[in-house]
Amino acid sequence: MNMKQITRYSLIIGLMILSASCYKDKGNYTYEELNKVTIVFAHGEFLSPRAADTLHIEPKLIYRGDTIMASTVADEFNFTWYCNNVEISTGPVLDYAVRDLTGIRPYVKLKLVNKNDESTFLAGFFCDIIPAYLYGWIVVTKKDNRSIISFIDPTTYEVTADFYTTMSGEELGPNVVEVKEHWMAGSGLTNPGNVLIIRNDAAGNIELDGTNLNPIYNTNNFFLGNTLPEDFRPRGEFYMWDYSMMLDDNGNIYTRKHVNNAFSQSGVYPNKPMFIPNGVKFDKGWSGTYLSGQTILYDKTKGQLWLGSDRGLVLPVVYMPGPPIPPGTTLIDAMDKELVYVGKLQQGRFTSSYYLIFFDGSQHYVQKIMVIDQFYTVQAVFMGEMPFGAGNANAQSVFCQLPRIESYMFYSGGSDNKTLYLYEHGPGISSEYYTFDSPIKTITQSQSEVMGVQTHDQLMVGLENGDLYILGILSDHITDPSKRLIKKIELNQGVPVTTMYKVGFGFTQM
Amino acid sequence: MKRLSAIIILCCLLWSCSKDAVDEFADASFILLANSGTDTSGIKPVEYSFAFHPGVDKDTVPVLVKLIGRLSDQDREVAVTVDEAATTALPTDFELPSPVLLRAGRHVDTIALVLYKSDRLLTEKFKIRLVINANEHFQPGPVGNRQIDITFSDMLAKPAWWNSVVETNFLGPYSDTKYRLFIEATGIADMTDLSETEQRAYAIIFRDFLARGRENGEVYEDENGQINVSPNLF
Repeated sequence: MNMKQITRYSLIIGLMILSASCYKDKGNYTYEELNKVTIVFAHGEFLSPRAADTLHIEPKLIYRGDTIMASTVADEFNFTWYCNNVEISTGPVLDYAVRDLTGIRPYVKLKLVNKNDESTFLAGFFCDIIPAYLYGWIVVTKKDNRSIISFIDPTTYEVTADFYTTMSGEELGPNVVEVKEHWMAGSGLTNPGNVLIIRNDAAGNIELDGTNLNPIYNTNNFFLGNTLPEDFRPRGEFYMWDYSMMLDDNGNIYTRKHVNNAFSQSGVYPNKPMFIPNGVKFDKGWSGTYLSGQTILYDKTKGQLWLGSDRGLVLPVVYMPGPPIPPGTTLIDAMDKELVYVGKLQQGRFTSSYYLIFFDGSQHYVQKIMVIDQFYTVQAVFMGEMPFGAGNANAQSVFCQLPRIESYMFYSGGSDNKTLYLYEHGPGISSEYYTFDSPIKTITQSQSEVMGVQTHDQLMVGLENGDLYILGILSDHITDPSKRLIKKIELNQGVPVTTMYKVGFGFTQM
Repeated sequence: MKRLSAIIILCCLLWSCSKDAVDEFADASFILLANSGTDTSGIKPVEYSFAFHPGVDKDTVPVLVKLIGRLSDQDREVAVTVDEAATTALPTDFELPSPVLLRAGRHVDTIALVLYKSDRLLTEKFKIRLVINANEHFQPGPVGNRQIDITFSDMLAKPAWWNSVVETNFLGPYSDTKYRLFIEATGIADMTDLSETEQRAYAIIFRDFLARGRENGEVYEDENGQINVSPNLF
């Protein structure tokens, strides 16, 4: 066969193949309609359950034009649930303990298989688990010469009593005076704050992890050369952005700069007291708002208000020059009354307004100021002073100014200090809010998101008999006294000493 | 012949197995000056300043002697003398214990050389050279461990750690007077291995020491004027 013939035959075969490809397909296959299923989770693609919760997820299915509950088509489909690709359940409804989900940010996925045609559909959601102790009440009580710290879930009111001793195997000792939450300025706003336990004894303060409440630091270990100052017992510790301040039982201040303000503890305190001119000693201190970078200090002997600044300075607060302060006002640089309470106000991010409560032995006064830190001087804008609580507030009164709802302050008083009063700054009126069967020892406000806004909706009142009361303070509670009591908790852990509401993430301080 | 050679070699090998009696140090014991109980390298000179020990009028400089030889159950005298030709200190500036002993059962002992503070030390450094000599108990050890120079004063010099960072952030410009006050305030003279936060804490203590003193009428001045810490210290 020569080349010509090969070419000719090749063309003939090619034409035959091309002709065959033109053969008409009659289309007589057997088609079956495939029904697409869309899986819908009511909460969307993200879920934020609490660690103690149990997930109860029943998806809706959009199937054959209808929206139906998954459980209604259990016969038609196979349901398989996965957490980070590990099978955790089968069935149309997922009931699963959140604490059993694995991974840092578990992805829960449902695989749906149509039993008839093996068609498969997938959908899932991320779980941003809220740690068990992220939000809630923390109560320190004293019983049998022991300080006992307990956590109370804000939703279920389940009590985790004496958790410090349970977790660490150690005692807090008898001298816890305050419990507070602090955040790390440079660590991002989605990090939870830690819990600081102030102990008025040589053993020092304890810091607890804000997520699991495990003890992580003893602040005694943050003194220069691991050497404590002479005769040192903390009375207060105050965290700002870049500096911390320690107040001791002798009225001395120690201040340190944070090496890295993303860490909850960094930098060392000098082991000798800070020099304050004229021998000034401080009786008490109060933290300003998270972003204010302010600590309010009180020199009881000289009757002066001081500011611990976020530059490590301690400076006297004087009134802003200008129009005179009205006669009869309690002067912050020459107090003729005792300063018994400072209530910070959260009016915005960098706020620095305070209500100061004075007591002259028979009458209480409330003065509002705004403190302006001018680096080397500190001045206060005077906004007014009013007497209040005549006939009901007393020397045992405790106070709770709502930081975010500026016009409301609660205080104890009345017969045997058993009555809770609401003081409204605007009209300057007090009214009975609730009366208990035991003297009031502590009052603390909660902070929750209500209609998208961080605000205060509950109070915890700690009584001498060890009972705790959760009271509502929203408008319907205020207008209807019968609605005020939300929960009575018989804690039975001794007398309340200090209480706080743990608000969790840093962004809740905005 | 081959057989004879094998027998001779075997005999030699057997001979080599006889026990060799070791006399560890023969009859001589040696004594030498040491930097530490475990460091027998050449002895390093010692420098001491009373300026680093505020409030101290006399102080003891430990000088180590170390034995190479057999321990004894008796105290043995060590012949240590002052090399007067190389010594600039006056006899009243120091006190060498007499006799110097290596106590029974010890292979390392300490010569407690006492130094006395005087105004002369504020402006000049003085030297003491101690020399180990042979006696009936000991021979001197290696040449590099037979003598030690102890230089002492009440003077200061700018330490290496007082660098530009420390000057700018914490303590300000160096002066001997400021350094002396810093030591008095903090109780430390050396911040070489300290972290920045520790240096800051010491600087704060110094700042407050100056402020507290001034409130009590003290005047702190040096060649630069008023003594202060760095204005950047917060």
